[in-house]
Amino acid sequence: MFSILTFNFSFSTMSYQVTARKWRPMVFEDVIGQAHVSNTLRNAISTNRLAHAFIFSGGRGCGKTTTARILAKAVNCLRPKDSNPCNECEVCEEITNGRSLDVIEIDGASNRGVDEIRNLRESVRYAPARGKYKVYIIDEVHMLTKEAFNALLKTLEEPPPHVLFIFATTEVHKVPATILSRCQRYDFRRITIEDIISRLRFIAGEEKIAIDDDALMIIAKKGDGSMRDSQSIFDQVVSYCGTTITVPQIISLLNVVDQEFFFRITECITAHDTKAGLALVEEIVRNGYDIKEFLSGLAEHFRNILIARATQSVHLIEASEIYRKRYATDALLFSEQDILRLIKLTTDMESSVRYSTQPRLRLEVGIIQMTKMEQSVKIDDLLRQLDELKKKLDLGAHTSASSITLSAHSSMSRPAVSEPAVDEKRTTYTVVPPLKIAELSKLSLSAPQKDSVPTPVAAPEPSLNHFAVEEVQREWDKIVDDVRRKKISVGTILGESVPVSVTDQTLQIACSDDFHFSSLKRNQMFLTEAINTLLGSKLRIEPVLRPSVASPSPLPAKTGLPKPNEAPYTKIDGSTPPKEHPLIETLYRDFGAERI
Amino acid sequence: MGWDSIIGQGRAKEILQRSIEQKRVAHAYLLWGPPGVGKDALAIEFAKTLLCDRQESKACDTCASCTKMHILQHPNLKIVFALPAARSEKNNDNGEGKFQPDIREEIRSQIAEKAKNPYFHFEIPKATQINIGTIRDVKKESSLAPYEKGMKIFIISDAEMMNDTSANSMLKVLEEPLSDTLFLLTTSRKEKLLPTIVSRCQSVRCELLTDADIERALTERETIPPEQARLVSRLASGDYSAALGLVHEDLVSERAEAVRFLRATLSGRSVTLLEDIEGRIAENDRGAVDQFLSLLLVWFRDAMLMKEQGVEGIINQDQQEDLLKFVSRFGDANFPASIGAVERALELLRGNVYLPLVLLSLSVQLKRILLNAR
Repeated sequence: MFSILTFNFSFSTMSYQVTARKWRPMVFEDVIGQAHVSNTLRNAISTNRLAHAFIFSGGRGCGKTTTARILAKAVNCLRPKDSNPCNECEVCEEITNGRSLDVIEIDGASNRGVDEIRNLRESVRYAPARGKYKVYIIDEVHMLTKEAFNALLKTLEEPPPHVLFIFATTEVHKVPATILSRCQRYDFRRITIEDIISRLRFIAGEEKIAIDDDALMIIAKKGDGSMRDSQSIFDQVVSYCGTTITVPQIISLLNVVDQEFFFRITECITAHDTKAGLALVEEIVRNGYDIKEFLSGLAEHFRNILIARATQSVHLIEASEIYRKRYATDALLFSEQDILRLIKLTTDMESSVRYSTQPRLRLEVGIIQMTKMEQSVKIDDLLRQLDELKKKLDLGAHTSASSITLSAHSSMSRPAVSEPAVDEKRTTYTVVPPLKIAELSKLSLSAPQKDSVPTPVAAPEPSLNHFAVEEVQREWDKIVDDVRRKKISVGTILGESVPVSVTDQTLQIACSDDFHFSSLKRNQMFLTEAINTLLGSKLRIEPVLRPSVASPSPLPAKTGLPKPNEAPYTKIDGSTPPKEHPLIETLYRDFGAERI
Repeated sequence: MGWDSIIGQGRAKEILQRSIEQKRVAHAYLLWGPPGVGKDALAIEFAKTLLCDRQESKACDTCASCTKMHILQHPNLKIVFALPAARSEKNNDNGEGKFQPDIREEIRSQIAEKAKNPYFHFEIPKATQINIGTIRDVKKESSLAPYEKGMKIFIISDAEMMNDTSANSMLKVLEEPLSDTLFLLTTSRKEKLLPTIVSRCQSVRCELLTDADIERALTERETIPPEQARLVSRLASGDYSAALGLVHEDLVSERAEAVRFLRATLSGRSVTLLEDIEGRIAENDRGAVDQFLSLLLVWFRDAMLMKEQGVEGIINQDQQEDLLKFVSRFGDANFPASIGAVERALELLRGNVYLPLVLLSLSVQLKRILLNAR
């Protein structure tokens, strides 16, 4: 009845078999990393205190099915050695070849219904044909239906004395509590990297394959705690490289991102070299690295730096000796906050790359943000600096430390331009450029700015001419005439507008209405050129809309509602925004309305 | 035909070919990687090579077995893909027998299409998963002796389409199949597969194709003019199937539309903007809007790159002038933020949010981001 369900795991055919099958352990000692399970089972066998039902749980490839088969053999073996199966007697051989009538391996995922369990209950009654026990191994038991589990309960609680149930599953939480309470439960552990390496080293030796420990380390790390995964990778490596295996071959085969890349990224970040960063992205894509894999590697890299930084040692880092040393030196370049921010950026990128249609773009954006990131200063340092500043300037009157934004006019500290505004919730203190006490005298106190992110302040270049607005006003008629000669329509409109201010090399021209504004805007390039040639200046021209100033007959009485086009194209320095209709103000204040 | 007909994928080809040379062909392979890079093509070629009479790492393409493989009608080969629910699960008919005649016809024509173009993607209407019935057929066939000499080969295309039950019931047979059985699974969503499935296979990663590879394939196979091939290959971002789809789209005018949208947004002429949005959604074609937003994304990427390092590596090479103008005006803008806004819009679009709302809010956000910077 279970004939199609038992599997032929014989070695009879001479064709190639993967390592995981060929080297499936046959005795308890060979099941790596699960001593807590195998010792318990062996003691139970030797003291004759074996339970009648077991459930083995644990991740993929950690030895559940293997242990189940060894146990089945150990209890039936004719000449057990030290509670291990001998693997030589006829019973052992029958079981190994899947011919035994007493050991029945059932695929729980394919035979999951109540009918199959009913059949099983029928067959349980018959005594074993040869051995001592009749062993039922149900693999992937979590897939049984609820009815099937329930049908099993009575049999499982009080089976005939010759019956042994062994369940194996990766998802023990799907097994009902009533089943669990009737079984002895054994949790299999993830296998450590060292254990995997030593087992692979043994297999390689047996198969006469030359491979060094660094190469095994890469394989074991990729295997992620699973012996089967590691052995699959090992197989692949062997069939790709032949009998002599070297690290570079593995790296190119598995496309493991070379550690070197991560160190180069940190270099780009410390040097603020955006261009090199982008070149690196190009290289990563060209080398065919998986961007997700690269990012998780990068996160691990930052984690290593963080650990080196936080613990002042490199013992907790899983890397080879050369890299550990480099981590120790690299750790000094970053503060903990910086690394934490980098990790945050990286993990954010990881999650957005997963859903992004253009992962490369995400990576590019991220790298740019990283290279543009400013080093942060601790809030304590900042407060101390502020205190000193206060003392120095003796400005006790109008300072409240919390509402001060520092803007550094120092050319030494690069402005924190592209602090990732994607994440606007970030607190301010981490983004303030580092200040040295010596530079403090150059600091100026300015009114709190709207944004929490300090805006870039262009350092005024002394070589440029400074034009005061008065000069422009003096020359205004000449300018208007000149423009009128070149383009009459623009000139006319310019004549009806007024230059208001020059700030930061930007000349603002106030116009009375939408029409004037938009036509000046259209001709911005032309105007800039015309005015600059006339004045010999390097001004930017910026038309602003300000009905109240220029227009002799403004339109105040019409309505209090803002015209849609009056949107704040630019903030007008010094002038208070026009008073809004009370209704509108309520909308702003109470409903969080925004102008569009 | 032959390994050379597969674009790129140097390493994957080498892994598969060497496993034949070394006589170390495992019993299960998982070919995974981004969509449209030729995973199925690799699987089919690998199967053909293994079944070929020559028994070498290259198929002869002339023997009886290869001829049957060219039309994907080899009796030892079974291709598994998502099928619609059968008339009745209890129906004991095997294979196609349990389907309505029209679906059977569809399946046959799609297999024929796949034989002609291995980059073709199976899409049977109403098929959402590889259900347990299909897997039962697979297991039954795998327990039988092969029809002809050689191996039995099962190609499971888009293995992530297996539902929980079918995936679990694959586990045992995938771990220890009878000898001379080979499972070739392909997937573009490896993370959706059970880890226990992945762990039983040899994973072979297929990479994104390079732009140059796609460009060459397009010009040589599809006789696309080089100019168009370049733009298409850049936009396909490594996905040859997508590139084949894009060939028939008028990308240049689509891009002009995207730029126009941006212009309308920035000029503040709300009426034009609204008209534009209205026109765009009149057909309610989400696919078109998706593409339009993707083009916008590419535009911002180029702007960002231009600001950082000049014209090098820019996708819209033919639009350098306009880009330069754009960057000189909005150079200080926060491009990462605007890219974020467009990506968010794409996400909303795919989440089936009301279209005009998506576009309008995108336009408002972009305006704020770009104009605030000045």
